[in-house]
Amino acid sequence: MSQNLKMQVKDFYFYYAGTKEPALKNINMPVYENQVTALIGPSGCGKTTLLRSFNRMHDLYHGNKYKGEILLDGENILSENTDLIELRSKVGMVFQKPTPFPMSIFDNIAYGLRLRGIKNKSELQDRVEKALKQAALWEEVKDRLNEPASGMSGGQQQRLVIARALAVEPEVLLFDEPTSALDPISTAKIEELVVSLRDTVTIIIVTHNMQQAARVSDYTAFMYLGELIEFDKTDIIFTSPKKKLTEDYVSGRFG
Amino acid sequence: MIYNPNIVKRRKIRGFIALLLSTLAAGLGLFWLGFILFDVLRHGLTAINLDFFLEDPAPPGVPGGGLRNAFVGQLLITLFATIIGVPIGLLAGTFIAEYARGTKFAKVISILSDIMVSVPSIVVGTFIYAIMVMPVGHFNGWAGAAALAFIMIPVVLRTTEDMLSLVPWTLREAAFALGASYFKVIKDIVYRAAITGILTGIILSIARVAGETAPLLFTSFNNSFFTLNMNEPMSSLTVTIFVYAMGPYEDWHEKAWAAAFVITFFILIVTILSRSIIYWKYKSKS
Amino acid sequence: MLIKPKLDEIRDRIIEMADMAAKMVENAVEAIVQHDPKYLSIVDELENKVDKMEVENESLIITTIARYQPEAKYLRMLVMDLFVNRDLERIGDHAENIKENAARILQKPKLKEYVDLPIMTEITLGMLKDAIKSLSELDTDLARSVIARDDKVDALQDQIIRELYTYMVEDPSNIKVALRLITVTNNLERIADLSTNLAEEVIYMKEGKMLRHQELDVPPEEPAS
Repeated sequence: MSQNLKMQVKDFYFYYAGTKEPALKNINMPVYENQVTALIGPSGCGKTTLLRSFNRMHDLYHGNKYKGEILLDGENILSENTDLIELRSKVGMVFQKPTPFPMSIFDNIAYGLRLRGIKNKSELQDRVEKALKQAALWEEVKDRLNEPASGMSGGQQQRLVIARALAVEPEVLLFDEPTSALDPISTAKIEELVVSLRDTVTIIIVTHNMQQAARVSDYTAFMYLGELIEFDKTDIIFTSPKKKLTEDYVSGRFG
Repeated sequence: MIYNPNIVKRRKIRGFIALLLSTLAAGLGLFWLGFILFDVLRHGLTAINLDFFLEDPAPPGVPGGGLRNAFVGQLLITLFATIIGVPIGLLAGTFIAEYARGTKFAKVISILSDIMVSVPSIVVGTFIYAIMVMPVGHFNGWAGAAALAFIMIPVVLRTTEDMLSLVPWTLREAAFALGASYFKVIKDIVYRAAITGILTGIILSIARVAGETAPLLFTSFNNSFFTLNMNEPMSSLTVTIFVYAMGPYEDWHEKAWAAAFVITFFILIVTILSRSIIYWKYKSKS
Repeated sequence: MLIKPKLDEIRDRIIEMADMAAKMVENAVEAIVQHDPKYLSIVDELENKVDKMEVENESLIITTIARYQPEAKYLRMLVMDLFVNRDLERIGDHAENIKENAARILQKPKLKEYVDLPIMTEITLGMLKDAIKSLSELDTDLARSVIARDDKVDALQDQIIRELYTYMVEDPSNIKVALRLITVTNNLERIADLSTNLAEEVIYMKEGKMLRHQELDVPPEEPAS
């Protein structure tokens, strides 16, 4: 079964502001379309740093430097000509801590749409409903769309945030440890959601919980000290990885 | 030998003594507060009537009349001080909390703001005198408003900066990740999240300057007559209290007490208002 | 539940494999009883498929355990699926063995009208098919009934062997065929044993009770008259 290449990381290095040593060294990695790719590794291995490069979040802070290429549908998103706002339309992000905006549920989901100039009421309503359905949240909130989003539980808030990211119809969705702050049942719901979204978007997920990576991902990248140690199908990484370091990590001998 | 009744007893006694002392201290503070309020009320109540608010002052020595000019003057000066001071404080606070976050420039502005706050208010008055009264040749309401604004700015700035800093960084990142520009992030997200705190800060800064006297002494000075013209010297409650309290007339003394009571009452109401805003906002959240 | 689709997939494959194994046994013995080689070729075909499936299933089950960290019921199911997988492959092996012997037996004229052999086969196949059914439906009562029939198969085997002795004594030229027939009954008896194993594995899956090397926990069936 051949996979389409959605994104590709080529000879990628990353330097935090004011540092000589790169935080990420020589990363070469494919990201396949409509598949879930997990980034795992012990704390400080650079997985979150790599994830945040996919939508250039590092640009928010002065002095960070990229070297190499990251291609999205063949185009390098690290070039100076890249329109960051358009990039973030195509590549959305869900963070570790649920961050609902201080406004109503409806306004939260509609925020990204309004940013792009969509004002038509019925169009907004349709797209908000669609996004909430995709995030498996519609039934729970359809009667209280105008209530503040802060009144929801943690698991619901995280699904709200996912719906908010989905509303702008991104092609790639980045998840940065999306269930670290949630209870086990909410975690299970989010995991099922991630797997179900695979048909709609390409997903890259960072998790420090490698069992989670085993459950939800199709491909796994194991990173250590800023380098990509091994990238392969999840089945292989967790049953017979090729590198000893990978095997040690996966069988719990460190990290 | 795990449980020693003597040690427990000693601990209990010490705890009781601490509780007693702190209760006494609180009671002491409350007592004097109540005493002051009561005293002001007692002395001033006799002079408070409708005329007090609606009439202009009578000629010196003649009983009757009111302090309408002072009320209106105080209102105008405070209003313009707010119009000048709040936007500046707000924008400056936003600047150092957002755009210049962490830079040396932000630290410099922060230090300057602290200095502004600690300048004695009478020095503020003389400073404004030098730049706004002397060139014009006479006292004026604008100078009074400017002096009060000078005091308000650092308070609003500090509050804005603190409240904006409390907004978690992840909230901003989430908005950026959706493709918002920094300006929109601040306008749509950060301000909304911090609005309660900032509003409270603004209200408290108004309460703060409402009771200032020294900055007005050399700027708006005083006016026995009613005027709406900010280019003229303007009467204010605080200066009036000062003048009347030092004057020879019993009638004036009474009016001073009454004015003092009104100011105190006003500040009390404003403080309670700001607290209820916080309470109401948090209640609607849960 | 992320693991559910995988469990269903594994279950379907095991059932498919089990059906193939049963078919192998059926055809191999039928060749002897009917004294007709046409039943033999299908056994070879199925043997290849069964072996291939065993390897694939094993890999699939291990991967599923690695990826979904199942506990309790699901863990028991997956581990037992591994054992069932292995046992089914062995049944296939025994069926292949029967087929080999059948090929030789058919080279000589038919020894007799087989009576007990078909009965033994019928009971054994019944055990195997019921074991498979109890697996697909997790029917522990059916599983227990399978275990109860094992003794019957053993008894039948003794009976057949005794009868074959007489044939061998009567005419030494019968010995070759008779010995092969005895080998066939050995294989059938092993198949019945393995079917019993399958049933025990089903009971463990559902109830967590391990009956291996133990007495059955229900009273035996009334002997058929």
